[in-house]
Amino acid sequence: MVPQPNAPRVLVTGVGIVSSLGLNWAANEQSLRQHATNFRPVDLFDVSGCVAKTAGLVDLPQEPCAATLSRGTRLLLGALREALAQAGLNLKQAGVDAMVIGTSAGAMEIGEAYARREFQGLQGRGQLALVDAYQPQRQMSLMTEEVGWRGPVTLISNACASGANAVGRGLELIRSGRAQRVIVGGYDSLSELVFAGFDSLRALAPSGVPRPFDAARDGLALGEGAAVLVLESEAAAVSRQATALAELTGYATATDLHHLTQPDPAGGAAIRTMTAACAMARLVPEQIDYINSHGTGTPYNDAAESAAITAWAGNKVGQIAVSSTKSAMGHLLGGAGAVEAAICVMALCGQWLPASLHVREVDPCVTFDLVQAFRPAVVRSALTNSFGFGGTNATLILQSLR
Amino acid sequence: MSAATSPSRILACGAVSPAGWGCEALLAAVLDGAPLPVIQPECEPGKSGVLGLCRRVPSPSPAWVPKGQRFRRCSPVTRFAAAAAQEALDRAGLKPERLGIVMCLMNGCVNFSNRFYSEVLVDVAHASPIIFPETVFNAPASHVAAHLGADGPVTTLIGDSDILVSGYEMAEDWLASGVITHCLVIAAEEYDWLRANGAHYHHRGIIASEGAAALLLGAGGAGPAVQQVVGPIAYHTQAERVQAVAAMAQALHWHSADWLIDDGIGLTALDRAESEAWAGCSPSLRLSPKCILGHTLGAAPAFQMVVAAELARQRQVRVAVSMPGNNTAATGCIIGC
Repeated sequence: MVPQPNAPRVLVTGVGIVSSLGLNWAANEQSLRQHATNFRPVDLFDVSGCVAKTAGLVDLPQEPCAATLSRGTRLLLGALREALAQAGLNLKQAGVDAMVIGTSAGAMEIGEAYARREFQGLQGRGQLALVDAYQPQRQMSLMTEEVGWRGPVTLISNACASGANAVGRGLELIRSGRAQRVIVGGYDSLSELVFAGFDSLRALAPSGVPRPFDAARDGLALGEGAAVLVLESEAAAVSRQATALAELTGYATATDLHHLTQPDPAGGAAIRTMTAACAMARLVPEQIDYINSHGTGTPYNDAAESAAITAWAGNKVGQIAVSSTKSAMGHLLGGAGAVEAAICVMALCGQWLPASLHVREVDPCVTFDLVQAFRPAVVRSALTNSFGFGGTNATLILQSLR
Repeated sequence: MSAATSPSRILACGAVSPAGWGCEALLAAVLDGAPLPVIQPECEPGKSGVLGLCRRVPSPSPAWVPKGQRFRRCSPVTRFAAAAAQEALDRAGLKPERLGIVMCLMNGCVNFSNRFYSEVLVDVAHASPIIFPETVFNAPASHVAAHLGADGPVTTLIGDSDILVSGYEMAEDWLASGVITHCLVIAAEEYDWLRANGAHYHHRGIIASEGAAALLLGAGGAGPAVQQVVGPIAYHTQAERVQAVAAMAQALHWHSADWLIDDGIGLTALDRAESEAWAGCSPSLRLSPKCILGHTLGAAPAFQMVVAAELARQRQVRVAVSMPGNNTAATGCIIGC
């Protein structure tokens, strides 16, 4: 990335988060402080034929909204409302230039309903409504109508890196001068096709408990949720006297060409994104206080990410605190990158580190300071990694304004 | 959004369409103006019927078949995208070391999704782990990236036709930042009976289609460029769509263009917004690729852009492109040299 010395600073002025740990920032923080989890039997569809039978499910509140909103869009809407409230933004009045949202599955459960009826020969008028509501861009249109905003929404779908890429695209839009104020985020809800897919790959932990960086880890647990961040150029934030929570200072994305689903064991693409994101933020590895890792809990992912962090940080690796919050809330797929960026903002604001839960014996590949219990800490710079099927790697860096 | 100043150029294009494999086949069919033949597809055994007609991409000659390990079991949409991308690079005579890719889709790998979900419903314990990764939206981009050795920024956008312009702007930003030297902006879709039935519910006259188109962008060089972008102008309802398309047409400098490539599909109800917006434009100056090719969903705006870029390159003309979108946003642009 060519340095852009005149690029505007990008501030985070609002955050909203919905996960199985809670429906807002406060509830998620409390759960992280208490090492709480909410993995429970999946009751949204039949999992009796699957090896795994649990996931991090959200207790979705019954809020007034359009009936055609998918479960995932409702999660996102909850996060959006919290982020807007925290930023003090009214979308009907504020000059928000764009939304960039990441998702992997979109409104998959609506597509599943459509397909089931077609398979059964139930071709009729109800199908048109399902076809319309299934389309992810239509869901975003319905959601923005709920909050009274009309503007361009870009949907990024890079599997599990989608949310991080959406946050990063917001940074690019402001740094390039295309936008002053951008709402970014990511979401995914649980769906039968995706759950069955990960189960077929034997990627889900049979026990239902994800153990990232444990020597005997045996897979991930799926979760669902969403996060939204309000990004503003410094000038835009100052113009409305907004309170900034953190600064988004670094972003890079690269592609791991090793395999469609398995990472390069050396973590080459991750090394490149961490290096490039640090260069944009003008930081060196030892200045990163905390890494919210991709940390899924699968044998291949955690080994590759550990190798990448070790190579990238060199002899300073032992100073860097790392944890995986997927151990508490599960893997949110297209929502993960945005949710984990939100957790980084929470950690920067609260000066604490969330834990990697369920670790019984630390894997020998771990060379960094694996945070196994919630703890207060000085956190000036936080980095978060996201790696997706297809090889998309993304790294974001957020910094404290203290 | 305000446009960033960029010297990026469309260095070359590629296309795979019902007209054949290659840009020239696409351009010839669109300029000829005669709708391509349609077929009545058959449904999979044991499934319900297919409701509408379609136009399919013809079988390729061996030279057009993308070769490589990743293509052994990939979806048609991936093969179309790879062939279009390779054509663009070959026509430019380039093998960029720092190549970015933006893949634009509306439906994506719907054949594999259909197949995998069918297996799940029959017996989830025997659903194929080989198929599932191919259902993910960014599988085509991943395969194309691996084929071309593109290990930098590669992203997949999903949505209405405005994502092509969003993708174009994303590519421009990457080029301007210096992280890449060239970028392929690709849009692709594949035929599937489930998808075709979905289109049929919207209007029985829609002819489902498939294919891919690719624009190779470079930071500078010779070739056409996007000279004006209007939108995306978002809308929530079909009534608002009419207003959005009218606003787009009013802001677009189409009077100075030699051609207008619209989104018309030849169905009065669906074409109403554009019919009103472009009432002042002589029909002799208008091209309607969808009337010839069928409805290719996310690939349709890329076909428009490729035709526009090739006309601009070959005839030194300015071409207006109207992308009213299906259900969320209207966009327009001017392409010229």
